[in-house]
Parts: sequence; structure tokens; C-alpha cells
Amino acid sequence: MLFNSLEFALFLPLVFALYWLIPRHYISSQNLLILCASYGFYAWWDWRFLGLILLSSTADYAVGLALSRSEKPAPRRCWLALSLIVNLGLLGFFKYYNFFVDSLVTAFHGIGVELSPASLSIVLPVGISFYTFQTLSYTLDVYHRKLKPERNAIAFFAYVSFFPQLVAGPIERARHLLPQFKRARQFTYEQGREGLQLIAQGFFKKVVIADNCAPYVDAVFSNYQTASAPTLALGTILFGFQIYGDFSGYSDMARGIARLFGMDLMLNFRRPFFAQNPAEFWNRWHISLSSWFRDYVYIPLGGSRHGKFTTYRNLLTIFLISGLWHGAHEIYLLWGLIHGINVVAYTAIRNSIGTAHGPFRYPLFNIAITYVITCLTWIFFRSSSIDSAMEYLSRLLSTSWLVQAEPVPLLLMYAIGALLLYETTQERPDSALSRTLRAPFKFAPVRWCAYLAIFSSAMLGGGDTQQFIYFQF
Amino acid sequence: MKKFIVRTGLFLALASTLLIGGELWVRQVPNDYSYKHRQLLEQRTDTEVLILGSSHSLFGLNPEHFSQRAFNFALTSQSLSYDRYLFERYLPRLPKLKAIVLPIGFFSLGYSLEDGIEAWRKQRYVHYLGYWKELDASEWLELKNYSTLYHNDAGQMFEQTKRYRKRGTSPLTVNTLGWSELFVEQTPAGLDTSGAEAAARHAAVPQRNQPRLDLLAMLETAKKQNIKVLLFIPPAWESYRHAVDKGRMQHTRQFLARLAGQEHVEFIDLFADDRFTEEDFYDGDHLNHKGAQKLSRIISTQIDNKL
Repeated sequence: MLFNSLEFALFLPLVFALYWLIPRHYISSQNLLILCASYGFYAWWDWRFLGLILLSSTADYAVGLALSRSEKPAPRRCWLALSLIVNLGLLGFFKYYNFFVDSLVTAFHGIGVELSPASLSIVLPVGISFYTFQTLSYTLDVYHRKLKPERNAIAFFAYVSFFPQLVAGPIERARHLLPQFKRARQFTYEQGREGLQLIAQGFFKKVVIADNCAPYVDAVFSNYQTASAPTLALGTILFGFQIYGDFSGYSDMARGIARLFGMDLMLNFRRPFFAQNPAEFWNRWHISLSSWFRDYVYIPLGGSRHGKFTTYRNLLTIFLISGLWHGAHEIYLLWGLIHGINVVAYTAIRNSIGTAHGPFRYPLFNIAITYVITCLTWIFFRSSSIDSAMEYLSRLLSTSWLVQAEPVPLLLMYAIGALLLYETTQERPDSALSRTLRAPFKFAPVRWCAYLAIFSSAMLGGGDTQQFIYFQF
Repeated sequence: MKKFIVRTGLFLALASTLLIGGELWVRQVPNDYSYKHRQLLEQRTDTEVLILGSSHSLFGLNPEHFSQRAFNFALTSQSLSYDRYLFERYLPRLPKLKAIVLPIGFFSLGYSLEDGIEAWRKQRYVHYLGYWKELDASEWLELKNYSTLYHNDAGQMFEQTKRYRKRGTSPLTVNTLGWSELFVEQTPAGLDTSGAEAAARHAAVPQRNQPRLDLLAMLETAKKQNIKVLLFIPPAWESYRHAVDKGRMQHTRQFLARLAGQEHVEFIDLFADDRFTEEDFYDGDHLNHKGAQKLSRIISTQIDNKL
């Protein structure tokens, strides 16, 4: 069930009404309703994969309880290993089996040994990378005694499967979301309004920006061999907006929907176009995943505590794993590696000569350079293979720029302009520009007209319903 | 909560009014689907022959050249399941209907409108021809089945409606008898190229059983209502004829010949009929005005003589 579908437009008000009809002190009943609704939401895609969520949730619930009863390190490690084997085993099988088998065959072929293992046609269960990491964070926190094990099964299962963020995040932490399932929720008007505003914002990003960038981007990336350099550049820039609109739009909707149920989900995107360096970009882009890797991989590996070399190695490791998390393909590994190199290079420059010299003193210069680097790396994310990405890049840099680019629809340009202006007011709320832009919206009729315009453009602006890009991860 | 529900309800009511208003506004512009529906209902008490099928009859059969009162309800890429739907839907409203005419190409017995790039046309049937009753339960919750604005480029549709209101221009391509006058002479692409391309496109249509079942169901309904059925293989230019799958063509011929064994069914094979010359074709598999006149007279005579 997609957020931008008619079935969800019926599903959400129904669950919302039932949820708030339950008296607020019946917390378990509300959680049970969320659990049933979440399983129904997931089953709408493919009910067969519900078993995987159940298995993952049951394993981590049981491991959590077992960890609470074990004081000695050895059995605790065993329980943690069990959770890791179950969760990463499922993820590995469904997402990476064929990739690893193919890589193995290629590697053996290189040394003259021919292997012919069975290749399975495996369907990737939607959202598996997201809920696996979410439930793993619980076990890791319990193991490290940062969190008490949850005894209430309904609350725990609802936490793992909470439908607004089940299939594409944000990847919530048990420390943040689980306690919210344990306390009474109260509905306030401000909360509801904020929820709807976030949903509308998400719809605008998804339907008006992302879905309208998609045809241009698809055309450029399918015909990059004949496209001119300006068209290739525009294709890359628009892909940046497409993926941002798609993914951050989903996150906004997820946060807005959760808000309607009295829940608060973490911020997943914080205006990444304003990042002034590659490291900051990852503090603003897919924050829930970046922080997950920071807390559960980078810091346990030693973080930045053991000298430069270890820091750089740890940074490269998390970016390589992040690439692999996005997809079972060499191109994602390379994409992760490039981002890793960007961050390492930036860290090295910062540590040796500092960033307050020369043009680095100017925030706009930093924003521009970070944006260009990020756009160039998107080529690897969007291309179907490393060869095609390299060819795209080489055409972009070697062919003439003195030709006209394929025109971008005017309405899309306006929509992107509006998005950037809106994000500017969010980034610098106290600037004169932001105050001027916000001033008319103090009047209710102007606000309502804006809401109606956003609602109408979200309903009519994108044509047929498009899948969210991050569902494939 | 009350304030939230009231304000949200008010907002949704306002937004729905806007969207429904917009939908009604753009739907006033006639298109081939809505226009044919309206015209057939206007002529329903006189219509004796109903022409169905795809572009081969849309461009190739001009009711003006029929000796009977005929109406052309063929539409581009219309597959047999939609022919069946239209026949069964309009049959009760056509008291004088005596015969239906249906072209069958070598690909028709496997073709479905839902295949490939023409699939968008399905929503035209849903929006303008009442096809929503035929939708599967899984399609009931698809917004595109309710809103033409949602299904199409809304900006373009508003522009089109404004032009229609201002200047009366519409995307209509058919006349009051349902015939499309678009193919006047010959395509600049030439008969050889277009014929080979069309044959290759049609060869890609998979074999499936449902279109045969739809055709058989139509014949059964026609028999019960004492309505004659004229099936014909439309004329094609040699570039198309040479490129088609001969085995599949032969199979189609044999199947239609078997059907013609029934008393109320007639079949004529005009695929390589030498009455049609280069001057009669628009492209490799469609007739132009001149060819349409010729084909219409042949079919009309056949109805007079045999049915």
C-alpha cells in the first residue's frame, strides 16, 4: 500500500478513527490496533513476507528477555550472536544471496576454477533492510545495557512494524520510539495540524518534484551515449532532486502520519542541499541510517579515537557497508566507496590545513562545491553498471558545453524553485528573506490557499502513482 | 480533536469541490469515446449495422457508403474483449440492429488492449463508456479509474478545455457516424516501411486464449438475439502481407472459416484482395478515404447478399 494511493487514503482515516476511539488509558489496545494495522499494511504488498517480520521480531524479543536474565559475558555474546545470525541471515539470504554467489563465481573464474552453483530467483521483501536494522538496534542497545529489555510483546512487535516507517524508514531507535508505545498518547490540535502539514509537504516533494523529475532523468540515463553535456548535467541535477523528493518526501509523510497517532519519529533529512562539506552532508541526508552506522559500526570499530589511519579506515568501512546496504550490486559499493573517499579527503584537509582559509571561508563556496561533488556521485547511484557510469561521467566532462540542454518543463522548475525557497526559510529562519517570505502566511486565507494549491498539485501533478525509489532497498 | 476534525473536514470539502469541479470542467470537451457514445444513443433507433474493431475499421469503414444505417463504434487499438463489452452494453438500446461487422487481423486473436503502450486507453472506456463495472476488485481503488485529470497531464487538459471554450477546438477525430477522417491519402513514411513496421509490431502480440473466448461469447449473444455477424480479414499492402507470420495467419483463417460454419456468421478474407491497390492505402495495414469507400461498399454488399 503506497502512501500516495487511494487505498491508503481510506486506510489511514479508518485506523486513525479507531485508534482515538479507544480510551487513552487502554494503551495495549491502541498498540494492538497499530500492530494489526501495520501487519495489514504490509500484507497488502505480499502477506507471505509477514512471516519474516514475525520471525525477526520474535527472535529479538526473545533475545532481549534472555539478555536480561544473563549476567555473564559469554552467554550474552551467544544471545547477541543468535540475533545477528537471524536478522543478518534473513537479510543476507533475501538481498545478497545471488550477489555473493555471482561474485564468488567471478572470483573463482579469475583463478581458473569454474563453479556452477544454483542461482535462486529471490523476491526482495519490501522494507527488509529498514526493519532489520531497526530491530537489531534494540538488541544491540540491550546487549550494551543502554536499554532495558521490553517485556510487553505487543509494544515491542508494534515498535518493529509501526506502519508509517515500516517499509522505508526512518530507521528508528528503540530508545526513542519504544518508550512512546509505553505511555499514554494524547491528541492535540497542534499535533494533528503539524502531522497534516508534514504529509502535505511529503506529497509535494514526492508527487510534484520526484515524479516529475523521473521522466527527464529516465530519458537522460537511458540515452546518455547521445546526450549533450548540459543535458547530462541537468539529468544528474534532476536526479538529485528526484531522489531527495522521493525519499525525504516519504520520510516527511511517515513523520506526519506518526504524529497523527501521537508518535514522534526522528528527522531523516535536514536540508542536505545546504551541507558545506561531505561529512556534513551525511549528517543531513538519511540521518537515521548514517547515525545507525555511526553508533553500531563506526564507534565500536574505534571511531576517531585511535589515530588518523584507524579513523580513515573506519570511515571507509562504514561507507562501504552503507553502499552495500543500498543494494546488492558493485555499483552501490563503488558509490559508497566514493562517498567514503570524499569524507576521508575532507577530514584529512580539515585536520591538516583547516577549512577557514582561502575560498573555504565562504559558506556559499562550500555549499556549491559539496553540491557538485554530491551530484557527481549520484551518477554512480543511478547508473545500471560501473561501465555506464564511467561513460556518463566521461561524456559529461569531455563533450562540448556550448549546446543547448534538453528543456526541463517550466512547472517543474517553478516547483523546484519553491522547494528551495521553502528550505531556505527553514535553514535560516531569522533571515530577512525568510521573514519576508513567511509574512503572508500569517493570514489564514493565504495559508488555506497555499494548502489547497499543494493538495491539488499533489493530487494532479504527477500522473500515475509511482513507487518510492527506496522501497527497492 | 473536534477542532481538528471540523477543520480537516472543511479543508477536504473545499479541496474535493475544487477537484470535482475541475474534473467536470475538463470532461465537457468531447473526445472520440464520449462523442461516439452520444452519437450512437442519438441514432440508436435507426442503427441496423454496428461496426466494431480497432483502427482497421475505424479508418476503413465509412458508414456513409453502407446501404444500411450503420454506425462505426471501432476505436484505436480496441481488442476483442472491448468489442464484446460495447456490443453487450449497447445491444439492448439498439432495437433495429441486424448485423455487426468485426475485422480480425492475424494478431487479433491474441491481442489485449492492456498490453504495452496503448494500455492507457483502458481508462477512456472507464471514464466515458461505463467500463468501470467490468473492473476487477483490485482496480477499484486506483484513482486513475475515477479521475481523467489524475490519469492525464492536468495542465494540458486545462489548456485543452480553455481552447475548447474559447475556440470550440477539440481532439475529436470522428464524424457523426463514428468514422475517422484522419487518413486522407498516404502516409509520408511510405507503404513499404510502415507495412513492415506494423507487421513486426503485430508479430510481438502473444498468443492467448481470452480473445477467442470473447469472440465466441459475442457470436453466442448475437445468435440468441438473431443478429448476423460479418467477420473479415482487412486488406493489407504487400509489405505487410510479406512480413506477417504465415503460420499464424493461416491458423486465424482456419479458425474464422470454422466459425463461418454457423448460420448467422459470415467470413470474408480480404487480406490479399486485388481490388485494393496502392492508391487505397494510407499505410501498410490501413486504408485511406478511397480505400475506405471501397471496403465499405464491399462489406455493405456482403451484408445485403449473405445475411
